[in-house]
Amino acid sequence: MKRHPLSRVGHLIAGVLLTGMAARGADPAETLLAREVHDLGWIAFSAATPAGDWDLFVMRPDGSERHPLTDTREFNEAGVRFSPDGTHLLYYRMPAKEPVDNNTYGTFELVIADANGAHPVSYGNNFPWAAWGPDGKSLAALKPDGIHIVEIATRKTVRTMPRQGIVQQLVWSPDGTGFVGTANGLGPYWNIGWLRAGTGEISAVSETDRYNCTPDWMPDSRQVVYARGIIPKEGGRAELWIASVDGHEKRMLYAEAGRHIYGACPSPDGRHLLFTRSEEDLGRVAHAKTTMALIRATDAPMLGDQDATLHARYPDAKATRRLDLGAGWEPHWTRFEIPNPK
Amino acid sequence: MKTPFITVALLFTLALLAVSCGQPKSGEDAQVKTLGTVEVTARLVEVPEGAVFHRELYDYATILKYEVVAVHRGPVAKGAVIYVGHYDPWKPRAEAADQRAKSIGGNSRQFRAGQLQRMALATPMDDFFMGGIVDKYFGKHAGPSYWAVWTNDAD
Repeated sequence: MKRHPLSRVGHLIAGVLLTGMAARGADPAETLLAREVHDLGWIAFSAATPAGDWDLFVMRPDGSERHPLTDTREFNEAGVRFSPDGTHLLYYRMPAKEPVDNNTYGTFELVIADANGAHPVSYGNNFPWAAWGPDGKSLAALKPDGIHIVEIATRKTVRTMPRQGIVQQLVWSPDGTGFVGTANGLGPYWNIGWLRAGTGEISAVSETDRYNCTPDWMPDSRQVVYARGIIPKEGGRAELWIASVDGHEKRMLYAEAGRHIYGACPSPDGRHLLFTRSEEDLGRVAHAKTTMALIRATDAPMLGDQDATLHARYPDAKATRRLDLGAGWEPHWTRFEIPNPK
Repeated sequence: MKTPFITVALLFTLALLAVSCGQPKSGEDAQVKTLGTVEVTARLVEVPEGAVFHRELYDYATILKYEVVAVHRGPVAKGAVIYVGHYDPWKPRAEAADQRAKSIGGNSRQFRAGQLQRMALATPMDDFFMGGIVDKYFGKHAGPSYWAVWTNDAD
């Protein structure tokens, strides 16, 4: 098999990173986790630049080989997702004066580019909350009048279906049979809804007595990870949860007393879980001091800090074995190689 | 004896104030009469616990329950109970519009149980707003919720 041209450099950088971890006394478990994930593809994400705007970046799953995918001062770029075959990206860009916001980024200008950020093509503002279709040749856009299935090559809608209260953060299942998204109408608050592509039926995946958002599919298309949110005025933090898509089985995967956990994304094989940690609640991301991390799925449920209240709620939670990946937001993971990131 | 000018002016001002204070506010203005498809004066029945909260990070709409006192436009019956969605309800209506809810407004500054409001409404709400909705009446009402386009105080 031909080695990726960046592979040797990548290993060198990874070596430096791991040496650095050892030098600062990193947990051997963290070092082990870094080694375990280094070659498992790439992670794309948004992060603030020194100029104050937000660009897209890519890195190895251990945090090494961080490269910019975009380099624009006039735009913020957000909501990046790899196509199922890893050849392309979709993302949103907005004027740099617009705040990057968990709840609005998908309402701006859709861009589709090569996986390394090259050849960006604007699709305009008419494809909100776009999600890759399982074939990578179509996408679903969430519009006020319903979900539009769009053929990317022609930009034409080939099918529409009622959105059944889904309002943002739409994700198409890997097997193509359904969608999840943040939805109204399933309870007093906004929740995670599972919309069957065949029947148009929707049901709640998450608990309905609180605010939930940022869902994503596990690779088996039978489970969904999401941010189990808070109830305003009652405090607490958003936690990373997983549920069977019918909502019958739900459990905590990762929680912290000092951070809100959003942006859940499984690794392509489902063995690792990637997420963001925010000091402030999201909404707007700019001031939330948001960083990324990953854990091993088999190490869940896990608590990310020492907190008596959380420990009482989750007495079986395991000790922290988290790999911190630095500043960033809304990460997405592909198992494929990226040809020459810019 | 001549009445001093200042006394006349004072009496005139007091008379004006008496007239204006005594006149009920109809809530009528150009926007409420023309926007949306339904125009009613309605009494806000209650503000349920947790229906209106101020959290800068969340832009949301909340569903509030009204009893219709007068129908000015549209197919709504006087005395009907309707459910109305207000965007970012912690804000004065004149300051609530943004990219997500572009053409809303009015002179109401807050929502208090029992108050009368004249509203221009649109329906179904889903056609006009794509964002999080707090519905404390979830499961307790059927039929469409209205989208509050313009909301003025009335007496």
